[in-house]
Amino acid sequence: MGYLLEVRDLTVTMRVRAHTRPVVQGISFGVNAGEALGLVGESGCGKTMTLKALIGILPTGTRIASGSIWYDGTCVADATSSAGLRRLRGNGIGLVFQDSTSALDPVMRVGQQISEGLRRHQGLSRRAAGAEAVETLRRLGLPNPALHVVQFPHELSGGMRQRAMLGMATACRPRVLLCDEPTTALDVTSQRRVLELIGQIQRSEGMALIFVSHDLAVIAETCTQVAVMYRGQIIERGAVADVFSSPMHTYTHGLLGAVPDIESDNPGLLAIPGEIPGAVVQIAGCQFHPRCALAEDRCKTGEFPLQKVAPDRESACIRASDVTRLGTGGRPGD
Amino acid sequence: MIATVAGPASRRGQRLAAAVTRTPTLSTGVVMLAGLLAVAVLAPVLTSYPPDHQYIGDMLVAPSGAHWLGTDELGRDIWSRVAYGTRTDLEIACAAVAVSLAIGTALGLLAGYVGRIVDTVIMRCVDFVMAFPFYVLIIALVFVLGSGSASILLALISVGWVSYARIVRGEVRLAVTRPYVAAARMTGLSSIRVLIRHILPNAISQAVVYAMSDVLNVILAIVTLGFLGLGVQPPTPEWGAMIGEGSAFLTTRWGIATFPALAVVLTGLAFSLVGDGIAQRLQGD
Amino acid sequence: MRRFLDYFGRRLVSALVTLFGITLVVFLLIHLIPGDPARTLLGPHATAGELAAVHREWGLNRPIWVQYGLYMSRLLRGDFGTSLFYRVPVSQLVLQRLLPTLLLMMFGAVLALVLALPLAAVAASLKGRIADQVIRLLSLAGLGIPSVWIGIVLVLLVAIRANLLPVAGYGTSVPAHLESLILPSLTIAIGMFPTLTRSLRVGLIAVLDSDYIASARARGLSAWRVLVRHGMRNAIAPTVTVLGLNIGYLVGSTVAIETIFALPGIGTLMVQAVLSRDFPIVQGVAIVYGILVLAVNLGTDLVHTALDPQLELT
Repeated sequence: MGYLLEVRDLTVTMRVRAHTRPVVQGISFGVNAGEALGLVGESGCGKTMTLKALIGILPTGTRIASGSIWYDGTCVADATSSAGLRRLRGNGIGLVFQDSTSALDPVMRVGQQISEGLRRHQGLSRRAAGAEAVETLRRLGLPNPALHVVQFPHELSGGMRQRAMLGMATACRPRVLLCDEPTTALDVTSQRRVLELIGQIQRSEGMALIFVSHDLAVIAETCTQVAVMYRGQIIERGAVADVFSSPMHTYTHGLLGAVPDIESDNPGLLAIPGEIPGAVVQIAGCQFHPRCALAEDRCKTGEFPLQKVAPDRESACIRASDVTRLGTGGRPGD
Repeated sequence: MIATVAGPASRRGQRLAAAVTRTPTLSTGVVMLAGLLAVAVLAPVLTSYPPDHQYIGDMLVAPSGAHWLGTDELGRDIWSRVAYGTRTDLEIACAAVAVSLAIGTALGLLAGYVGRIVDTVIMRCVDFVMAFPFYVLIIALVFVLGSGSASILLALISVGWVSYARIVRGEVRLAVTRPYVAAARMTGLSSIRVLIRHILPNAISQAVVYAMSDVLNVILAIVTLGFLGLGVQPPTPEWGAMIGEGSAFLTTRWGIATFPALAVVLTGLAFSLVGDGIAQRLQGD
Repeated sequence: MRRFLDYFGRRLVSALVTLFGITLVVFLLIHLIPGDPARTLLGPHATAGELAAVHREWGLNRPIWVQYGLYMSRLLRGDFGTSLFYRVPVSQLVLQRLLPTLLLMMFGAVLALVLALPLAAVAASLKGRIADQVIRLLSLAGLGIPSVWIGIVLVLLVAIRANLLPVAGYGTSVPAHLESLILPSLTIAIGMFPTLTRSLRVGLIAVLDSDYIASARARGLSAWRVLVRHGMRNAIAPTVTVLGLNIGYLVGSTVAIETIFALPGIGTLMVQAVLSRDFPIVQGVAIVYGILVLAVNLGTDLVHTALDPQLELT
């Protein structure tokens, strides 16, 4: 298939006290240059862990249990080794964090945090790297880059910090950019600006983008493809426009229904019944069946991998086609 | 940590026991402490000789069947002295910490809850005492009060209460801002009841954790004073004095000084484990 | 800079208030001793005339706040009383003996950090693994080792058996001074470093768990750079704080250690004074120790503040 970055049947486990539990279970997807894939789901669904696995900064106690990660046709990480991934960190793959306040070293000047990556991966001298850092900030729209490079993170506004972080992640021109909820901590105006910048960078560099968010509107705007995650698994995948207009999994349907639609006649919000079961709870069969309006007996046992349900659409639900007939709650009739 | 609601004593006891066994740190520490207490209480049973009887002719004997840890330069059985020394050191240390805890908690509650002048005065006193290095103040007080167990106890308490006052006051100030306190007051509970039932449990748990490390420091202080000759007076067996006496014989009978030191280390380990264990339990909840 | 000076000013004022408190506590000490303070001051061989002189000078029959005022004015003049035993002004004795104590404290603290920091770093970065557990256990056990015992054992092993370093004393030349400070500093360091290791480990773990460390790793920086440049730099501030918290212990432990190694510092002076009932010295040295701790706390506070770029606003 020839993806630039591809994940094959990846399972990541976390060790808590004496138990090991999976936080990501058997997921597979891929992105190509110039494409943008969104990963959506509620907190705890494993989307951030997926990103961390992709760039190789899994925290202590978590590890790749099985599956593999491929970059440009070569396997760079699997359960036995992540040597290839180490070489790509910051260089072939970049990561933009959610909270720029905590992701920037408070005792190091902003410019230095950008240039240290350049010096490491491209062997630039201190002066050259410094100049490049200034250029990076200028490209990202900071009005006075020469001033900002010598400032400390707390001296910049939230929006500027976010752009500085973008600069840090993209300084070495990685071919793949991972974004972990980059707009969540920002006000609406800054959100807009950051999204524009990301889009701009992606287009000009032709990067592959993997965008994690729980904000469906942002995903809709930024991405071409989307994968919906629930309890560590991908339960639906397809083109953003298709999935969001006619979901083929009850969970996705629920997620969409929970978004207030300013144009809709029906002001009600559709809440997904129940709550996400705690991580240690084991659920047999389809992970979502306890909360699913369409659940049947056969949903309670067995495996529910993604199945192709339409051209370029996949869903883990065995009643995918019935989902479109569910009540809408907040949208004009489907 | 919200205080556990009061229930019948047996259920609380069961829950306590369950909590202890679940944390290996805590259970190890408790077991060690129990062992130490046993030695202290059962010293007469566990030893074959009185601790201050000098067996002239049997001086500086190596550990043997008759004298498990050997004898010192005056022919006294070392194991006896170490065992009885457990009484001396533990008694003073536990008394000092318990009283400091009580006084400090009371003053801390007062300062934190009443606030303003009372708070300022009490905390200033705390600051003044804390300005001195612990040992210096203790030594100065021992000078003033004379040497001996009672003076050491008094000195330790005079200096020890400040830490508890500070901790408890801090916790009280924090708790007072919490919603559950406002809620309790709104249901018409009197101030004292609010204080005791809602604020105290939280505040005291922090103080108890600190107390465990405090016991260790207090024991070290007693030992150091004993070593310097300023503390418990002979012939009462005391670990520090034993270390001091044994220092001259390190080359020949290193046991005289080392066994009491070992006792101190084990005691310290026991209390530290208990303290760490309690802290772990509090965090885990 | 302005903010820094503001802060410095405030801390200085606070320190002065505490200093006032220190003198108050020490002043009260003499009144806790049963009997005539003048006799305590002058010893059992004082003549009636001498006693009367002290009564006048100290205003012992006047209200207590007047006495305190007189006491403070004496202190401010540098009059800390006269030693009963040595018959010279206490201030003179203290000044003569201050240097060895200060050096001991400094070397002890530095050595303790040198021992504790690497161990804490290893434990923090390998958190949860065997090395961490071992270090934690050893630190826990080490908390209870009496430093006096460490001292005498070191003397035995290094000075007596191996004959590498002097057993006791201070020597007469600067190299001899430094040589004789090695073992006592080491004793203090070994006594202090379990506590330091534990605190530093916690501080370092907090640093290593932060997002900016993850961010640094995500940029592919070498493990060394992440740990040292990003981790350690941020850990300095809490380290300084921890050191400050332990300073009371550091200063206090010098008292006993000086005695073991017969160092002519203010610690030995104090212990001797207690044993010979020489109150003026006890009083004077107590105040000096209080000032020392105050100065060190102020110092660490300032260093901490200076290191924090958030206060560097121009």
